[in-house]
Amino acid sequence: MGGFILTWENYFMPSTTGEVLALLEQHQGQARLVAGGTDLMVQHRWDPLEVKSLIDIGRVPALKEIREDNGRIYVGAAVTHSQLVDSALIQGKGRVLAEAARTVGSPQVRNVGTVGGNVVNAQPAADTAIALVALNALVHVLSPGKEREIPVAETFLGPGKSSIDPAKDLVTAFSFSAPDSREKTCFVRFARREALALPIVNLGLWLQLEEDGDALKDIRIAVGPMAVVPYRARKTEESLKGAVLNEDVLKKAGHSISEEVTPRDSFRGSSAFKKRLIGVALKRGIENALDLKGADWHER
Amino acid sequence: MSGNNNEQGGRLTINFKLNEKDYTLKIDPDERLLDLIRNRLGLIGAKEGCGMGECGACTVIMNGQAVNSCIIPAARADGAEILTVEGLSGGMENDLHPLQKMFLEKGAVQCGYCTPGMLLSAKAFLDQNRGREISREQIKEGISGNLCRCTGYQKIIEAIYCYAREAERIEERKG
Amino acid sequence: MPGKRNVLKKGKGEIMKFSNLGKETPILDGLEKVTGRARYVPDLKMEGMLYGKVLRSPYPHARLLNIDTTRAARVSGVKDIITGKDVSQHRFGPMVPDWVILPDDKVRFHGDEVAAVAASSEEAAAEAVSLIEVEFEELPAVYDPALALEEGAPLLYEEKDNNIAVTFNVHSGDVDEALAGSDIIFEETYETNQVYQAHMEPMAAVAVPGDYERLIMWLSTQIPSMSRLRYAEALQMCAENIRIIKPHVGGGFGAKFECKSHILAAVLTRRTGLPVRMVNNREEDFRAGNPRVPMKIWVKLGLSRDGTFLAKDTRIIAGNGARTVYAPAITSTACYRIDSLYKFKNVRSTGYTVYTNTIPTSCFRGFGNAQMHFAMESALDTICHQYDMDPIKLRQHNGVTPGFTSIHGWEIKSCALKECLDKAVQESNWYEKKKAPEQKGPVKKGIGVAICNHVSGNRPFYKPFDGSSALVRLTPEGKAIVFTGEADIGQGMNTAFALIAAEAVGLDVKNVRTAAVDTDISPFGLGSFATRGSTIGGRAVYEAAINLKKQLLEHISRVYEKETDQITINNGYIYFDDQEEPVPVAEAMQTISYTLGGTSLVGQGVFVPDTVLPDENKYGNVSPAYPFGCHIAEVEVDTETGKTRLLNYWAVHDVGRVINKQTLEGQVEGGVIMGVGWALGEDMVVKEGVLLNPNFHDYFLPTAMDVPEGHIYSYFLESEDPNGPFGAKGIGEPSLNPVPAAIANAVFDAVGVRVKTLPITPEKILEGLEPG
Repeated sequence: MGGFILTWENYFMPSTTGEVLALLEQHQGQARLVAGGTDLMVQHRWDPLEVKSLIDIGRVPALKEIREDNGRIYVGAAVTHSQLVDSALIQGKGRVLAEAARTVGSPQVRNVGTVGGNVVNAQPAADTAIALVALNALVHVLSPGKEREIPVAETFLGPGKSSIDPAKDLVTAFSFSAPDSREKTCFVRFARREALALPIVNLGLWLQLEEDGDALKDIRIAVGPMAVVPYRARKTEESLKGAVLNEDVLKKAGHSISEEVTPRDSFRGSSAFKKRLIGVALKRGIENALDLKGADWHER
Repeated sequence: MSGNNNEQGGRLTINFKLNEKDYTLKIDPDERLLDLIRNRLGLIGAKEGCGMGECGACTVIMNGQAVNSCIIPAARADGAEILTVEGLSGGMENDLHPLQKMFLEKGAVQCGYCTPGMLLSAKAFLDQNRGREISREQIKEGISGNLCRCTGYQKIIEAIYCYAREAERIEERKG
Repeated sequence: MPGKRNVLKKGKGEIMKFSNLGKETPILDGLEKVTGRARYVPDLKMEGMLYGKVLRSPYPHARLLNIDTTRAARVSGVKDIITGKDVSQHRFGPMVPDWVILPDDKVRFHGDEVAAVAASSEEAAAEAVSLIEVEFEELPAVYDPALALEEGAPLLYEEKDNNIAVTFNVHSGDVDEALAGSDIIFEETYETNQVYQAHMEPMAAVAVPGDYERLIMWLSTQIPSMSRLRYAEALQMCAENIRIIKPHVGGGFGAKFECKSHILAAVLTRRTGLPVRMVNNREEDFRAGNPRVPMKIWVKLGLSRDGTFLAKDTRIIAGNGARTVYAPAITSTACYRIDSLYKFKNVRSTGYTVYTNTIPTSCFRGFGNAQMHFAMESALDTICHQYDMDPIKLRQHNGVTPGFTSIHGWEIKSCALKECLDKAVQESNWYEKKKAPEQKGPVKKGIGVAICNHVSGNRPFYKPFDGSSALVRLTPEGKAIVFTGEADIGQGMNTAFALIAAEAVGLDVKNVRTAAVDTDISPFGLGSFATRGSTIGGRAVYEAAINLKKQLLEHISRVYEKETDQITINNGYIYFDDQEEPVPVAEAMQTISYTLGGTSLVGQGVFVPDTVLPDENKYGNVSPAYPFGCHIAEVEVDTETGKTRLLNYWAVHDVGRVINKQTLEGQVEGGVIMGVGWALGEDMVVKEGVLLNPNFHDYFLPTAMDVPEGHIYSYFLESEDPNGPFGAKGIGEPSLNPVPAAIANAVFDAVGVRVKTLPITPEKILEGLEPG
């Protein structure tokens, strides 16, 4: 009935990506990477990992950077949620990601948990993952002998299943393109209480207005937990393209996404409830992203 | 496996500073920071309330940030600076940290089990917001990772708020 | 130095001003808490201490066919393993003898104790537990009390022919006749759910072998003296050979009464001769604690056209869980305690406490009265809305008044209920807010009211008696120590006792403390329940203090050669009528002590209220004092998401006398937020007997970000009860009783949705707004 025995035999703390890769190679799948460890330290108690060693990447400076380079924003894999919340760069150019990070757990959890860990843990409603999917972000992965870039959305294979293998692959960073003035983002989340809570539903929104006027040029709506992976509401996205975002259109969009998603009944909410809430989330998300003075609503 | 005096696996030596004192300790690779603090160092202020990072009773300050020590590997303490509630003051009535005094004065303590963690979350939050005006809403967020069942949080928020105002006033007078 | 003008007159009654009472006094044991030095049971370490762990049943109902501990015993560090075969199978229990130390026949809930291990480390104990091999034969199980009542339901106790643990009945007056003569008849069913006390310190015990076969137990408990008696019965020992010490306790709220893991620790200690520590991890605390008794409450009320209550008819089906802790007492309380809040003329109540294959339920702040308040105060609100009556006036009209004797013979000697209502209405701007115009937008505000009663001590709880005794010792240094068996579990009781003693003797509370409870030294104290601490425990302290003062005056008179009626003691100083300079008590005590061979003075006090066990008709005054309160909740409901937020809250309580304003406020604020958690989201979700959310991420306790956006305003009225110390009544449970109903009523006011089952979830509100 829930032990607390932790059982690995080695805990490594390398300080360069080279050292990390060397350790991965040396231990041939018997060691796995850990970033903040906020998920691992808990999950391990109920579902012990079959590993002899942990490799903590939190001391590799390159993995903790947030920077802008050549029109792209780079967020290191070991960047904590608190870093995202406090970063002026992310607040300005990756609002949905900063807002998402702020909803996670509590200050203590945000100080330690990382965006890399959040994505590799592959829960379909992982808040920062939803934000990264809305941003169309890439994940940069280093394994011994190769380097790849994968859209974040494609790394999710199922609940808890990532195409990234923490015993073989090192996530170095996430990146997304820096927005221009016509691009707006925002994050909406509904939960049973205001802190230390998992979401009932969450929504990451990116939209781009036309150069002239208020019509919508492009939009990405990432939602969870609506499927076994973060879900893009593409039907609703299509229906909104070209529209002017007035109250009527927003109402219709809310209905559209409610119809589109097919969540399961779960402990945190029934399917009907989640469908209902996601419609409200989209409406409010767009209102908030565009700073529309709409109906009175609460940010958190 | 830890606790069994088993020589297998690497026993790590770590160096860290805790409450301004330097330590060199041999720990087990799978030991939690909470166990290091409570069992090896005998400091009982940090409590195990859930063992899952969900209640904050084990909160300590590590490198200036509030963390749940029950889900931090002790190995990570290597090279770190840690503050526990015992490090806030000398422990006697006449030399309490003003935040501790304010908690007492405002009735922010009932059973006391959440208090050490709460004090440290408050301190970390206040340190990170030094020089800025702080609202009650921000304080609520700052201590949102610390569950309390006795007080309903009202007097805790009040104590932190009053402390922040007083600290502001002291800063203003200095500056 | 305080002057003569603030003095208490000698003799009783002419109290002009208090030196110690009525102020904001920080708790006297706060220093150790803020410095992290306070020791709770989980912090104790003893030489050679073993770690105890329990093997718990993975099935809700199963026969035990075989237990093999051979592999477990081989784990290095394991010192002892016990199963049902190793212990006596005699039955015992707090209310019904359906407990055994460990079963040898069957398990009755998921989490039931099957075996226990003591080992030299937690890891070894846990490993051993995982290696105990048990053969179970699963049995059909039943989880819903209503289904457990049905013919053919699986029986938990095969020697019985049904699953009813206890039935409670009361009928006073003639309900059917009164209903027949009522202009208004209202009938509804309400449900209150199972919730978890969530004290931050889990259940914990350290048992230590003492000299001469004695047993010492360090317990996180609300009932040190009473558990000693119960555990003596369980362990088949003489109670005198058990010593219980209660250090700091990290909250209880009703959960920390008799506990299996305490008994198992004791058995292991006696067998091994070594200290044994048994502390629940959080999951265990959820799965095998003592959560609130869930109830289905059917209510029928009859009123006359002018709003006078004529009849109340209720039937309650309450979930006992798999064995009996205190649920029967809680059910009976739900049946009839609220009958003394209003001037009911005819009442009938039947309550069934029913066994189910789920976690044994027990006391939780409110003790059945809280559950019934949700039903009654919601019902009254509904009636008012249906018949266009003023909910404030209805309660004023029917509420009890000072000097009233209720239908069950409860003597309401002090009562400021009317004033509580008036004050709450005034402070909250009730009538202005009710008249507020229609709101635009999806978020709607609403305001709701609920009142409450409770007891300050409950005679039937412990058959032999209710009451308390205390000692107050004044040392040669002029410091006073209060000895009581009543348990401070974080609510500030020790500080209240010190204030009472200080006030009654004439000392400065800075020189008074209350000793930790150690049953070898402390007087017997029934414990912290029934909101009895301040009134009954406090009155005993008061009597002991008065007794001490009498002795002190006599000795001062002798040593200083003054007449006793020329002497006044106030705030630590002795004033003589014929001289200006006061003498510090410390100085006087030193001198007195020298003349007495160096000893201290000890005052003894006893308070046994003249309450009675109810007769066969449940008639009889059960409590020395009855506290009352009125709560008003202001909420905001988001009609798009169903989410309810608390904006402001007003709580007005008749506490008889304010002993410590700060701890009173703390109790109210804590009670309100606890009630908010219960009303708006806390729920132990049990499926097929298994608790699905035994953790803090899926059990929704309020965090600091879930408190009202505005304030919780608390006010205290002093009706000066003749029985309470300086007139004091309690606050612990009244602070929670009205909360869920106040919120439910406010939600109805906001959006017109009446939620009759707790918790009031967003789904239920959305369903109410748009059915289907």
